[in-house]
Amino acid sequence: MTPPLEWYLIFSAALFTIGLVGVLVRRHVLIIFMSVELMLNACNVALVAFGRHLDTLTGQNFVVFVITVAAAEAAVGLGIILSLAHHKDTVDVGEMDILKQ
Amino acid sequence: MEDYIWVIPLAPLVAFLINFLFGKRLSGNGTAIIGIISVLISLVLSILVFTQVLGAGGEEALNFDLYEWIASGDFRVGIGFYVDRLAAIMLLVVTSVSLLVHIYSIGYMHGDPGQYRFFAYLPLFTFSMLMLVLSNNFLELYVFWEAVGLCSYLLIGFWYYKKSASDAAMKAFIVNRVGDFGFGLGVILLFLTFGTLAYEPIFERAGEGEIAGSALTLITLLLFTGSMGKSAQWPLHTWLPDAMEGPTPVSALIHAATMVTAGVYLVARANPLYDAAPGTLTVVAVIGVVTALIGATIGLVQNDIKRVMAYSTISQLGFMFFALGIGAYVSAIFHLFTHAFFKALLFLGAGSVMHGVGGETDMRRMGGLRKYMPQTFWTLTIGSLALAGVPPLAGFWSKDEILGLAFVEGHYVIWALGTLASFFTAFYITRLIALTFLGEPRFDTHQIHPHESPATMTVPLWILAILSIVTGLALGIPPEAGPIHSFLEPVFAHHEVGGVAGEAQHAGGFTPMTIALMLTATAVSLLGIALAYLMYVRRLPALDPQVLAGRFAGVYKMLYNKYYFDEIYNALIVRPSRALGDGLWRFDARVVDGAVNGVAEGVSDTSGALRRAQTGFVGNYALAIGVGLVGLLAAIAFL
Amino acid sequence: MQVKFPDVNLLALWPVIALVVTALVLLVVVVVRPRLEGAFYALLTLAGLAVALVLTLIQAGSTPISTFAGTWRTDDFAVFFTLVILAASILAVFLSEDWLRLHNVGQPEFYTVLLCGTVGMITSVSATDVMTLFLGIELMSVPTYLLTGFAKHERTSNEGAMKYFLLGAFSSAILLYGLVWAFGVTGSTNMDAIARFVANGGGESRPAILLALLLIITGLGFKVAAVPFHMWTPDAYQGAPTVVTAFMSVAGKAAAFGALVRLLTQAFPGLSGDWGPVLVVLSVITMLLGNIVAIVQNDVKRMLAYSAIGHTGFMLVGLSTWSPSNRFGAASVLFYAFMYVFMNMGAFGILAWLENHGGGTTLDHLDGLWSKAPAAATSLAVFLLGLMGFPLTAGLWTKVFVFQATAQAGYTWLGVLMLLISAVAAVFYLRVVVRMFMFEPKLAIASPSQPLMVIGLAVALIGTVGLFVLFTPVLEFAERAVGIGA
Repeated sequence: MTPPLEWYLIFSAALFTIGLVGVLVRRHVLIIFMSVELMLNACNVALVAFGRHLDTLTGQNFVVFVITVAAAEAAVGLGIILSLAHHKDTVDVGEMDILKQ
Repeated sequence: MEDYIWVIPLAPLVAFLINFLFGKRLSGNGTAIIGIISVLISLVLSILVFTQVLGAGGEEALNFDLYEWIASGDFRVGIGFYVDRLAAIMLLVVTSVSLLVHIYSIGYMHGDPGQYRFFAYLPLFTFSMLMLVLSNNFLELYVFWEAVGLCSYLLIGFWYYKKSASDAAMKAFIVNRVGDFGFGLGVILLFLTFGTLAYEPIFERAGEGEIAGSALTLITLLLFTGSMGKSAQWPLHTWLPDAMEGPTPVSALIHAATMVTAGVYLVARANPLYDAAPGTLTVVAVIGVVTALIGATIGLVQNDIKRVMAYSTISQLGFMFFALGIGAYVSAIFHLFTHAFFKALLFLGAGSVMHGVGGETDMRRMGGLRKYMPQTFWTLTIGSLALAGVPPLAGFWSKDEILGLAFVEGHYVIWALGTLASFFTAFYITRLIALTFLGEPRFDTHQIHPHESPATMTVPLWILAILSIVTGLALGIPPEAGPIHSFLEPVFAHHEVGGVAGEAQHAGGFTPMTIALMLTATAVSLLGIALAYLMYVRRLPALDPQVLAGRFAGVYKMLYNKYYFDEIYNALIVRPSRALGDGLWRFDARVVDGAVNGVAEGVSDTSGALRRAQTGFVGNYALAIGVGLVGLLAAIAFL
Repeated sequence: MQVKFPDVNLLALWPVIALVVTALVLLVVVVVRPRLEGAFYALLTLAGLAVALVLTLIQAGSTPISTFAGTWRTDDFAVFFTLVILAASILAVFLSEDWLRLHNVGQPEFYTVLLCGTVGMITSVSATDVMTLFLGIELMSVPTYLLTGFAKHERTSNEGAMKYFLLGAFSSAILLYGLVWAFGVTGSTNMDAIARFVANGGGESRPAILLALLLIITGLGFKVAAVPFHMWTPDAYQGAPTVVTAFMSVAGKAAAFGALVRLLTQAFPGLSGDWGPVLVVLSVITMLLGNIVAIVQNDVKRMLAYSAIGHTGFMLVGLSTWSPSNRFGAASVLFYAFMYVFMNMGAFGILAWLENHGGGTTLDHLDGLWSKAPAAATSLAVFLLGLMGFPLTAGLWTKVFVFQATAQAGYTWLGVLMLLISAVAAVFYLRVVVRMFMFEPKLAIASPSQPLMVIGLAVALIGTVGLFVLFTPVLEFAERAVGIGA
């Protein structure tokens, strides 16, 4: 017996919230970035669950897109993080504060 | 007429383009000559238009679109021309004064490094003003209304390296924004109400009574806000005296004869709307008479020759507005017409004085100039008498008509206040002549050697002086029924169907009543002149100005400080708005950030599993997003 | 086994194909010839963009083509925004070349990334399926992060990129979560199918649909820089190289608005009574905050960033008035986006021009610019007057038609509020003009030759002034694109 749709959705919502809070409270760039990835994966869980529930492949299709996009984002993001770390020996977003007014 | 009317505005535009693009390479006189030729073409054609309009009997106005500009659904606006007798007379005023100012400026601007800029802006202004007068719809009018404002701004700040000049330009611009904002709203409301912006259908339907009176009142009030800004009516009058920082020929053309009268023109042009909104007309009359008094009283004690004239302009514009307000449209335009000439004369004369004494504008350091500059003295005196309303000069006929009509129509309070203002007018202008030309020199005769101005400057003065003498005689006799009335009546023709001015026409002519009023007006003017003469020329000990200023110190200080309008606006508007900007910035930088920080701490406090951490800035921004999302959710859940 | 090839109509993709090919050619060329002299890379990029522009113009007005199983549609709406985006990209190339040359930054890489971003933007506005839409948004965002950090030797650029990237990814995740819910509840990712489902208000699923809608508005609200999702904007705009700021403030915003308008009016028309008021609230706070905070900025680049937020508010005003029976609000947004290209790219372009001259972007640097560089000062004045909505510039009409939209929808108070706020905004635009024209110059500027920059600025200037006169075709096209008079 498969668990009902709601369980998956609650799981997904919990993942999403953990990711969201992670972005809000952590100050290590990589961990913030991983939290964002967590949010994207929460979406993936929901997508697969909805796809299964609706008996359509669209959900899985969408997941493939999201994973691809996340990979591209990670590549670019890590590049930017490296470039910044090159300049300033820190990965703490709290110290990125020259732009504010 | 259709085949050449467009040349009238086009000629100055071409002159502007030539002078603006190639002016640096032309000699100073070259740019001047290009400007003069272009305006001369416009003047000749304007005279032609005038004669044709005169011959046509005045029934039909020429109205056509040159180019359909906007065609979006039912929103259609073209660039077009609307030529009737009102436009024809405005064309004459604009082109003739503009031509004389151009000629005068050859001498006045001689040797100024920015000469080519000057002779580029001046035709640009002339072009914009002509288009404003010729517009056949409100959008076109609005566009050129802004354009003349822009030229005025450029010319006030012409000597931009002087801080006072650039400040004055900024002030003029901002004060006019207030008025133009109302004007813009009025135009939008017009469109929403009538579904079109073209003059003819709007005026036709306004008279039919199908539009709600409240809508018309709101529209006309908003349009009038624009007029108040442009024509420097109280409480938006404070920019005009500062605008005197511009070169004097500019003050003569823009800030005395033409642009500032655009507000009067707007009300006269939209007279069918105003007639359908009697409430607004009352407002116009009240604002007009208040301004007339404020301007005239401030003018009594100012020491700067140009500022006295600026307040005089404000006051005379007030006369025109209260004439409009009591429905005496023709008399208002008549006064606009004569005022254009004698006020241009006064300004150009003041410029000639400044030219002669090396740029001095403080009358306390003048005196006795009569023997050095006789031509300037005589022409300026003619202009002053015209302004004071001494018969048979032009100002007498037009001002007397306004006051006379106010009396005949039963607006006794307005008549009384207007007469009082006219008494002050006679006083301050005599004071100006006395302080400037009569008495002993109060400047250092070893340092300054006053001299008469060159012919390019005095000839325009004489032409304007002659115009200031004859226009009244030619157009204003008999009073309230002179040629100007028969000429302009078709424009305001719908009044004859029971309108206020329609009644007034019947009271015209040399009746015992008008003669009595004329005598009263003359007596009031002469009294004002006599009083000033005794105070400043004969210097009677009992009337010593300084003693009087001391005795009435409160009144004197208030007038000298122009009723403190600048200070009031500064305290009420300028400083608070600056503080608001500062405050909101701090709000965004501190309070929003702080609130976000606070919420962040709250979040981390409640979730004990999470490390108590100060969030970095990125976290703050993300939290703003989160808080915004939650706010939206809450809003949609509870609404 | 039968293999059915998906129904793909390449006709719809011509412009995108042209751009992708150009980007690939650039990548190949850079391997073979890494450092070509002159403006070769720029001209190649321009050629690709020009071909795409011509192909798009050919598509304009023809019958809509729907392809990729209904996930992509090239209709008047897509064509309109594609034109806006291509115009912005072309101007961006003109403005960038001299900056790249003077700063010795890799031109071919820059243009490749720019072209990829352009493709993403076009995808965002052509998508009729939320999956494609998400793909387009990401394909647009990721290159923009890179472009923001392109001046890799400057810390501000890196820091701006970092913040923009983290927050952009965050908002993308929120957007995605909304799209997922929209799919899960309605059972389809196709916008028309979603619209059919929500036509009656959503029935029992209404709370879930509203949740999805709000998540989507938040995600896209970030991309268009609506308050309170705006806080990345000033930092990213100030940190990014000025030419990139110009590009993303115009093209990026246009694409995000395209996606937002498409989603709200095509997938959720039945809920316009719900999202309309939400947008009203967002537009009011966006207009207020953007324009008022701009007043106290001393760096003109940062001031323009806040002004860009303010303009987002004005555009949201137009969109918030949309309803199935009164579509003019959407047309006013399209029109606004078009006019905005020339004014805003021009304004940022002049700042970039100044920087290339060794100047900065603070007010002090602009003092007395008129006496040193009259053409630049006059142009900047025109662009700022345009942004202000002054008559004689195209900016006037943007405000007029948004106002018309509010009046038609019975939101006249909102329109009046907008006009009031734009009157306040005049303060900070005019302050720059005053400083340029009426102050003594404080700082000297060098004068390297910037041929392409001058062409780009001239085009922007002609657009800003010329469209004041010839705006009718744009308005008509915008109205057709949102289905008025169809």
